[in-house]
Amino acid sequence: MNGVVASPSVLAVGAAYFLVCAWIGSRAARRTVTSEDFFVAGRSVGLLPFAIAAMASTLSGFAFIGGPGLVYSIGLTALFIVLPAALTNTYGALVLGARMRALGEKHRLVTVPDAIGLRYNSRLAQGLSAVAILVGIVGYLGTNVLALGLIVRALIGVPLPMAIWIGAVVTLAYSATGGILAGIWVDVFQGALMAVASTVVFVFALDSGNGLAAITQVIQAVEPTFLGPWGTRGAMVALSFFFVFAVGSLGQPHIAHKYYMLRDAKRLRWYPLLMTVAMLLAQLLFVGVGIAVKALVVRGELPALGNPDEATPTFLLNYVPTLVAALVFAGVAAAIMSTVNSFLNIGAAAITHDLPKALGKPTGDKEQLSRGRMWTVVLSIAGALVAQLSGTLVAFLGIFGYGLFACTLVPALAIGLTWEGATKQGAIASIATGLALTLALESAAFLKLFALPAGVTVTGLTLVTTILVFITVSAATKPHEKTGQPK
Amino acid sequence: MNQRTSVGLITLGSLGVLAAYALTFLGGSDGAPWLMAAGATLVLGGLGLLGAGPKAPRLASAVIVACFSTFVGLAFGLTLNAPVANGPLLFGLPLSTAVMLLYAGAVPLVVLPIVYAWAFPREVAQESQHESSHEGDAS
Repeated sequence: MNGVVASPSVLAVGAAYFLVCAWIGSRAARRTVTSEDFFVAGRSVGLLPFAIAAMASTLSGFAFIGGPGLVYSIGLTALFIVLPAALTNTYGALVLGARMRALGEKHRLVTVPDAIGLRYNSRLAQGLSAVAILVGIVGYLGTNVLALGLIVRALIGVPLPMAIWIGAVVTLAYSATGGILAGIWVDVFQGALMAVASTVVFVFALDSGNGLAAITQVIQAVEPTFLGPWGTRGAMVALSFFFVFAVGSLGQPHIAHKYYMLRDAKRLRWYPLLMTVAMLLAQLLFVGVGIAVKALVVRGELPALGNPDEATPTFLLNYVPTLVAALVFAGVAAAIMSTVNSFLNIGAAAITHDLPKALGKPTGDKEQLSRGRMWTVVLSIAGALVAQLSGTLVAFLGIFGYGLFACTLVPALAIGLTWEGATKQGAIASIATGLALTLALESAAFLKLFALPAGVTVTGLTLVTTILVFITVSAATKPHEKTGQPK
Repeated sequence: MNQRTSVGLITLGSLGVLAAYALTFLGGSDGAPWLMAAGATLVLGGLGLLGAGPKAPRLASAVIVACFSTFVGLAFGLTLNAPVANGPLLFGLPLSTAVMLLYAGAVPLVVLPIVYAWAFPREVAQESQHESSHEGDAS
């Protein structure tokens, strides 16, 4: 994304967007007086903001830039990254939601490692899961801050290193002062913007190719597998995506953590329905733009893209009115900033809340709040510094982060929170295995020490291994003392 | 559905996924995608049934319908002929793609959230209250 799209109207929309974020953030910051306000929004969030904020945090810049680019290059294989949402929009509430909400309220839990520590009555399990979250966050933050920098550069044309710092500072401004409380309310604005932007662009995408049937016929004439059930990469790659993103979604701490914030547990009833509608709208662009740009390239109306990530910007600049394009760029920034805010918050909580608790030295409320703010600043700087590294390394860190969360948290949290036969030993073994295998295999793959065949991913392989380790070790060790486990 | 069955499904599904990866490592086979599709839906089915709990017949039924439909959709994708130029379209997409998306996407997308909302007062809210009081006794 090298092009600069700055024009007076784009700059005006961009400036208005950042001002609204700052205004909402400053209002929320005034209400942030305790560590519960900072980390779990005072458990005061209503259903609609809760669902929209969950959607906004789930979708990062990948949904608007990387995703459409991937669809453009590998066809419907990429659809299997978002297809699991048909199940997981409800699975989040079914598997985690009600239990985490109930435990959070009763035991005043504020983090995902808190739930693990309580469930297994184990400081080690809590500490290990906090370490896994921290390691994953640094990479994930780097990827998202870099993406934000690319958007800022495209909007105002400053050099990338400066654009990265501008994006990081704006997000930090409301994250450090208002914590997740500010984040949630900014998310509501950002989520609504993302859904509107995605829907509008989807309409333009279909229109650019005279409807889906015409687009399909154009692409099928030259590349029949592109819109086939498995896309150009085949069934094994598509199904591997499906497994990793369906099961892995239940181990994403920035989403699971939000269940603590819902004010009224009864409102969880409508959450899957609202989340489904919000996600459907917000993901229209993911598929629509990738396919439309492919058809435009096949028809010779656009040159073949040098970099697939150019699919969305190219389409916006050529086929969408400038004001709508500006709205979408703001939507992309929104998607990234809401994810960054969530990660900054859970990262700060891991350092100020979970690790001291795991070491047997829990901190007081005021101390947690001040340290939470301080660590939000530190993590933000770390993310911006990581984002300055080479693009390949930053992309690797993003994949690494998602995989690490999935492999370390799915067994102990998504299975173990409910399964009475789960044991402390099983949880510790699976989290440690997930950490060690992900670190070793992802690093070795990045350094090209080995290559996996198409269809096999480190995350998929490690995820299935940690699930089996968790179940086997739990079955081999006897569940003992009663803990906070909801039976 | 009792927890042993749910965890059994997760284990069986995980072994299926592992076997699919092993076959792919060994040079690939037509069986690998079938094992992957079956394994992934079994793991998801087990997770959903575990989450629904033993006293939630409506939620359990919805999970079974959604996961079965997902598997049927993926099986259609693996069975139907690959699309060709000027082949038949459904909803603007190649027939095999549209059928797969209908079963693996649309059915769970509609069934799960609607049944969840319908079953919530009896099968989620009451159960959570019950769990919370139980767990309060224990701590």
